[in-house]
Amino acid sequence: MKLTVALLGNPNTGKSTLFSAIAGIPTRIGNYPGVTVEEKVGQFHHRGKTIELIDLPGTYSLNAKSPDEQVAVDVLHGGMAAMDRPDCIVVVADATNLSRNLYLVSQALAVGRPVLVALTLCDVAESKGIHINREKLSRCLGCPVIRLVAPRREGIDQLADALIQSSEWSGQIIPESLSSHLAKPADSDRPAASADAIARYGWIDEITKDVLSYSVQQSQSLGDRIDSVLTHRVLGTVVFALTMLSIFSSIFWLASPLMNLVSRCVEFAAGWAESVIPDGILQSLVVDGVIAGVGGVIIFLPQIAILFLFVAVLEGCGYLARAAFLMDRLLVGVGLSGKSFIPLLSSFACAIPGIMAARTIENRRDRLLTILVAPLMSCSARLPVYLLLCSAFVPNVAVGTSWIRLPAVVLASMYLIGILVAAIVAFILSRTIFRGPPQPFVLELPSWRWPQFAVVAERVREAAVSFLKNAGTLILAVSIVVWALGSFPRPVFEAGANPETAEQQGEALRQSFLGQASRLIEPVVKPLGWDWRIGCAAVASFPAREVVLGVLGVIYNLGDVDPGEEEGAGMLIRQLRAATWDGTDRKVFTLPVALSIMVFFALCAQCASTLVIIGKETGSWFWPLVSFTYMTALAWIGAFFVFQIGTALGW
Amino acid sequence: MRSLATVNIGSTTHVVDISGEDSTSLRLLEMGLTPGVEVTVVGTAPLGDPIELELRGYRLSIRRNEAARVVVAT
Repeated sequence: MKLTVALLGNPNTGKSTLFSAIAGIPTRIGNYPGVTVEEKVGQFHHRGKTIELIDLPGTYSLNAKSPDEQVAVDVLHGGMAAMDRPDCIVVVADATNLSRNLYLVSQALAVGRPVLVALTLCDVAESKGIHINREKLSRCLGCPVIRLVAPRREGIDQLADALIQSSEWSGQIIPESLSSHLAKPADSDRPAASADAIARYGWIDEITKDVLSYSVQQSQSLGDRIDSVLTHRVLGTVVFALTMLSIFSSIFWLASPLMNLVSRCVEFAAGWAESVIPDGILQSLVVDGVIAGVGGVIIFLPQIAILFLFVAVLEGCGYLARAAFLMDRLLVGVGLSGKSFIPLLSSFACAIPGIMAARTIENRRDRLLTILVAPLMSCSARLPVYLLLCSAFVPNVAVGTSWIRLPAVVLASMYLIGILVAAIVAFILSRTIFRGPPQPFVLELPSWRWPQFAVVAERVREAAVSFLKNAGTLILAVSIVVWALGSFPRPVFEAGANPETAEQQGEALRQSFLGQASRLIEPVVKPLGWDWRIGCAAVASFPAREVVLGVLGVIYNLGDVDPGEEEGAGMLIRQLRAATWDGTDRKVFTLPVALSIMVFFALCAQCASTLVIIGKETGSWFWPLVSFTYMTALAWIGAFFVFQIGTALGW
Repeated sequence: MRSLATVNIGSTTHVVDISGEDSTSLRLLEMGLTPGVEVTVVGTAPLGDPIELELRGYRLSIRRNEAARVVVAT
């Protein structure tokens, strides 16, 4: 017989540390049906018994007010499809903060399943001079109370023993002292739920008076001193800025050698496939479709791993909550919340880890809004596009002083445009579609502690696996579709079945469905100052923005252009400068056209991976559709105005 | 009636009541801001909002909006 155990507890109580210590790597990770709440199940064996451990989302109460809390309530009462009702509940309680943690214990006692209280962080509590009389506490609660120091595995065996014994209990009885508190006539003018909460705390205060004792503390604890610096109005802001700057630059720079390594491996795989598979349609499918598509996905892996490493460390030591605290006021102004900050900042490196980091926002409305605007932050994939167009078409003249050059100003404006538009979009959405009662900001600032290695490692592993598994398959499919549209129908060349020269590749693309479609949409892109070839490149860059350079290269008969190669880029620049409108000698690329392309790419949603991740994280294909539609519309409008105004001013 | 939003940084006071009957008020109670509990305003964020509280041995941050619902002893 399998024993099913639910792990319940407040956030920041060391619940994840306990989970890793008992069950190790989870056997199942996914989402609960219909909601975006993470489901985590693990398994372990003890004295010949198999015990299944369900890690419930961290919650302060069983009065469900959020999807997370609703999931906890549903699981505990057996209302979750495809999941057994737990045989036993372990409530993880933080010993440094007993009275607030006992609130959830008091609610768990009423569920009707045996309850075990696991007191975590006992070592920290003792060093703070807090002493808990466990025998007394156990008598007051009517359930076992086990002392745990999870990172050192103290108390794990006792907990497992107690779990096995719990199956012999007939059922949990609500302590008499609690029921008498709850039965007291409530104030007539108070809602029942509020009166209930007050009554429970009345009971808790009575218990803690008996159970808790304090030894005299000489001075402010280390945690308090750290906290007074971290949340200080000036010092806190400085530390915060430095921390964010170093995280931001490491997702940018630390990841880049790893990303190069990944792309080296992908190139190697492509080269190997080319040598093994005979020339032809199959080789093109494998090399240009499958390997290019999968390679385009796994290239993001280093950034995701690094970002989640930082997020897990910051969360583990309690700084994530303080970052939200420090930034809240600024983001509330545009309808977001302090917790949106990390996801938005990460999106400057790449929207995918940014959107995944939005998991730390438990409020659904704030989370959705953050996910919708995160792709507007200019990610690193836009940088090569900006750099190429800036260096090719923006005159290198001084602006004001000699050391500020116009291309740099244009580059910075592209980043600013993204931030500005994101702020406007968030502002408008939060007052229209997402309008509702103001979302409360009631956030615990957990005491400073060292992050647990096992928890951090698990967080990184989980993010990497879920990204590869869920996005990999879909992105692969999208890449193959785009490859097929760009490869069929195939023109017949005399030399052989495969287009050999750059001219032939360009010709093949022109005759493909993609090329034909681009000529059809020329009227749509003409107001932006684009010819059909730029339109084609923009459409073909749907899988990823940086693809646009390669496509421009192909379409202007250059062959593949690696944006990282100085020489190739130089060639491309010369080619683009020489390009003329079909049948005339009017130049295609002018400054307004270059600016219009840049603004388009700053605001558009040409990134299949991002859209797939939005779908996965929101649990619905409606939101990626919304993102794509609104961003493409904004991109077109932005590009239109830049081109028209630029042309009118005679740039 | 004095609200927690008007309490000076560094001052300690007692909660008298939480006004309002919606889920935000319930959340404040559930986080331990119940009548009679001692609460200290520890500090504020750089832009003056939210504020940082200490109660029941832990740190909690709430916006001034929410703090205005917390009636404290004068």
